[in-house]
Amino acid sequence: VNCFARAGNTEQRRKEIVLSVDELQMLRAIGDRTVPSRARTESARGVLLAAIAAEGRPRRWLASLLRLRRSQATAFAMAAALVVVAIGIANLDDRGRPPAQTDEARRLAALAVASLPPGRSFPPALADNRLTPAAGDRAEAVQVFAVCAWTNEWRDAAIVNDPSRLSAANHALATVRSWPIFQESTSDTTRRWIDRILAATTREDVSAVSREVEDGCAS
Amino acid sequence: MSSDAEIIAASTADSRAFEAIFDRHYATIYSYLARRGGVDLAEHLAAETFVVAFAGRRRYDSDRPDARPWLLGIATNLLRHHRRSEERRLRAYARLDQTDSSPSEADAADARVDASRAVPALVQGLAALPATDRDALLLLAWADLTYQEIAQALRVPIGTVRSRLHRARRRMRELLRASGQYRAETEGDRAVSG
Repeated sequence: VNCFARAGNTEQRRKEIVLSVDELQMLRAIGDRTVPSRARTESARGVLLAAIAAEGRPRRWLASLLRLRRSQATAFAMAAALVVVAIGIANLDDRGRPPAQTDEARRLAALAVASLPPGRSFPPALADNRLTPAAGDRAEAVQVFAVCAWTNEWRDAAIVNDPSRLSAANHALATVRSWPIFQESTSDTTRRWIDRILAATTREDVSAVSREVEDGCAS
Repeated sequence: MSSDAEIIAASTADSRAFEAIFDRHYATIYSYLARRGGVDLAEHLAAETFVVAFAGRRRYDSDRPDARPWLLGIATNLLRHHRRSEERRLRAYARLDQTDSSPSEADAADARVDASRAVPALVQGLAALPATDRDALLLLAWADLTYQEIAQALRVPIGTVRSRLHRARRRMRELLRASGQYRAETEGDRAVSG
């Protein structure tokens, strides 16, 4: 109170501030400062350490999808790459355009329609292989990567309460079910996972969205 | 001792360094969440707060040495999706046994006695506030953040914080006065129970 007097406030202002202080004191007196138990603290620490340990590590089914590609015989991969390059070189037109694709590759490429949030890009491992004839699994991986990116964008936007980012993410996620790749080749497991994401974003359940990201997305 | 900003910067190269942020601030975040949503929700959301912070650490503003406003901002945003829990918590406060506080309790006792008698009006006022105003008010009252820190936590200009707090506190006073728990008379007059 004295400091306000020194500041030369009016009587009314002083009275108002005195009342404000008391009102805040009364608010502060509601409820106690709860100190977390050791068990709760260690439980929470465990959650954080799990997140730290998981960072950068490919996760679960997306990881297994990528591992499956890596597990193909090296010789086969090299031979396939050589064939692709050879076909590509043979089919370069006089304007130096990319190698012609097989019908299947073109079809798969057409299915791989996925946009990303601003500032995000596909990892080279996905982008480079998207248009090759062996793009079947890759096309799905591209789509899943995009779902993860938009889901992360939704979660971040919800947490920082950014309406424009949230709107963009909602719009993108709303189209996921209509992406051709999911119409054609997505597994039931992936479909259920996406359904859970969409349900969680619809009810604005950040916790649930976070869990689905943890479960289904590489970091 | 390293600042929070230095630790967070270090954690971009060595992710385990982020555990020090947990050690410094977990109790604060938990306490704030428990007061607003109860201990069960606090246990869940406090852990999630640090996971979200860890995931977003590369975007942390290194000009802010104290991470507390940042963490409380994340916690507040997570809490927004659990309004029902907070409302239940407020109702629980309103049901508090008003005889729990006695004049013999030390120092904070005066405010506590007044508050215990005014709890229904306070709770009614809190519940009726717009969420953004309530967040600002409770970051001030229960997390002891400054106006500037509240602005950082909620990612709004400080002028917006001032207007939200002004509006919230005025509304609380109106309700307290209407309930007879608050009386303004002369200079130095303090809140009295009705």
